[in-house]
Amino acid sequence: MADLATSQNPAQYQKLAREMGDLQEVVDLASQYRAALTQLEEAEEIIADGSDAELVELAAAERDQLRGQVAQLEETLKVLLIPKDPNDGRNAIVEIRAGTGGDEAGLFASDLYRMYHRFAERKGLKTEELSSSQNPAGGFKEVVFAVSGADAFGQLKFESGVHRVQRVPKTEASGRIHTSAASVAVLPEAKEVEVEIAPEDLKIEVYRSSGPGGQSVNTTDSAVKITHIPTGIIVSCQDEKSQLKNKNKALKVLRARLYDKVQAEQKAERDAARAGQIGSGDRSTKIRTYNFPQGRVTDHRIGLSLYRLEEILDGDFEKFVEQLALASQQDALAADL
Amino acid sequence: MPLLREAVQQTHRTLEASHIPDARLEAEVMLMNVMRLQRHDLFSQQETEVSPQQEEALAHILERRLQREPLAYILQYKEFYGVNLLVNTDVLIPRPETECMVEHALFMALMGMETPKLVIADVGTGTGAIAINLAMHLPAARIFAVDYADAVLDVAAYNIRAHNVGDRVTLGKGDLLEPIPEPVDLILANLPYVPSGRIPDLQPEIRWEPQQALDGGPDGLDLIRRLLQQAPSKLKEHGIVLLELDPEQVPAVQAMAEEIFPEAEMSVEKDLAQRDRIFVINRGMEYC
Repeated sequence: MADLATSQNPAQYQKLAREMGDLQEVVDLASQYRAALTQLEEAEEIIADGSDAELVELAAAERDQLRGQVAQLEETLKVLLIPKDPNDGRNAIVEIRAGTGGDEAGLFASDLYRMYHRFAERKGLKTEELSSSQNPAGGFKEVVFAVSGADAFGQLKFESGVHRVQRVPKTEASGRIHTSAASVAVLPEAKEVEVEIAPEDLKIEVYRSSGPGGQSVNTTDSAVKITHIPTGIIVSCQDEKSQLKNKNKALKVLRARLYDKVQAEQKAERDAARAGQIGSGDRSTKIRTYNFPQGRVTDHRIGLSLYRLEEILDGDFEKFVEQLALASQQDALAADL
Repeated sequence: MPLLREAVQQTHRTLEASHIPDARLEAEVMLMNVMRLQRHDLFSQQETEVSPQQEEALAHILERRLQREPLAYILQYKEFYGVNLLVNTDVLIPRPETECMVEHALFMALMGMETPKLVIADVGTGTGAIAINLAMHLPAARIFAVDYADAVLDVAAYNIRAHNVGDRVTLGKGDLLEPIPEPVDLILANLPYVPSGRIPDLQPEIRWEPQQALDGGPDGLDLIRRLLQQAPSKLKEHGIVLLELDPEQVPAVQAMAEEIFPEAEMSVEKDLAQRDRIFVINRGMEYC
């Protein structure tokens, strides 16, 4: 950081400063840990020596306290030494897709959308819809939206997977319970510099009238569809706003998907031995069941059931995020042993 | 009382039955408008009830729309390049292709021109769409926005005030470049360029728009022709002209431009639908 080149590059300096801040925390705790260990040793020596009864009593009390301290510091240090997911601080792109179950699945997908929207509100995060494809009956086949703010990705990353619902559909006259599902994919937003997209790799399509376009057409639609030719990924954004805005939204989603693809490939290589872990990224895994008759939501990865269905669907699922983050840490620790 | 999602569906069906294009999208926009919702609320608030007052407002909008009055006129605004503009029947509703004009102008301004203190003329400003967006992205530029009628300039004035760029955008009334007081670095012109004969065959919505803002005469080039004739005395030595036009007009405009600016470099830029849309006359400005 004292290097002249670094001091002239603010972004680099900031990055290093952050790293140093993180390392400083570890270094300080490590010193505390070593100090506590030394004191513990000294206490043990006094007790072993046994000559001064009063001292021994004091030492014994100290030893118990120090043992607790050492254990705690050990735990904290272990957690701090787990490499952080560098994506946690990023904004997130969330994709919800209705699974099998027709209209009911589409309605459930919109329930999930509402849940995440409310969660974002509670956490002071901002949502922006990027693209959607609706079901005529209400609800939709797919919706893609961005969530931005502090640690947006870190807070939502555990939502990736298949969410299952068990309830009597609104459309069901007989009152029978149906099971349907929706899949959620949470991607970290990618910066332009991280994903190189060559203009010639893109096919950009907009509404094309049969005539010459321009002043001859008056339309509300400014939809843009982008196909990334090398990978075949297609993103479309449609609303009544600026056509160029829609193009930029579509590019944002495309970048996130390409970044995700690259990361997934790299992760697959790294994680060959760590299958089954929390957040191992298999998006077709059933991760949660929302059972309406029982008012229960169960997360299958940690086996946690909460009987607060209404509140959870209103965006109050912080408890799951907490427990999943903890479980994820524990997995990481276990893997390193 | 109907639920929001039922109202959207119902409205969608009604619009579709009358063959109104983008029926689903317009139904959503109408409901967003009467219920004062953002797009993301459409789904998270699907089960919200539409109040009787909101239903009534919706019915009025729908009634007008079924007469093929453009939605932008009914709601009185149109978003362009990220900026909300007031529109009424005195002005043409900005087209998405014109966003490419703004983009291209910005690209040239930022990439090549030596001084950021550009002087720009936006001829046929209408809503002020181009002038306002350039002012927002080029803080040191001075922009003259001109049009021929008070009614049009009133709309431009409103939008300029609304977006706080009145210190850098000056309105002028008159014929094409005549009100421009000094030679400029950049002339942008989205003048009427539809051939008169084509207008009756266009979609019904266009009948509600001011015909003078569309009709370019028999070949659509009446105004562009006169602008090019006025241009030499109003353009700086190394200035640039950007003209919006239709693809089939390129050869004729090129011929005219070559006669008037024999030393200039000509090029054509495409819009997002891959059609030739912007004719560029570059009098010698270098940019990468």
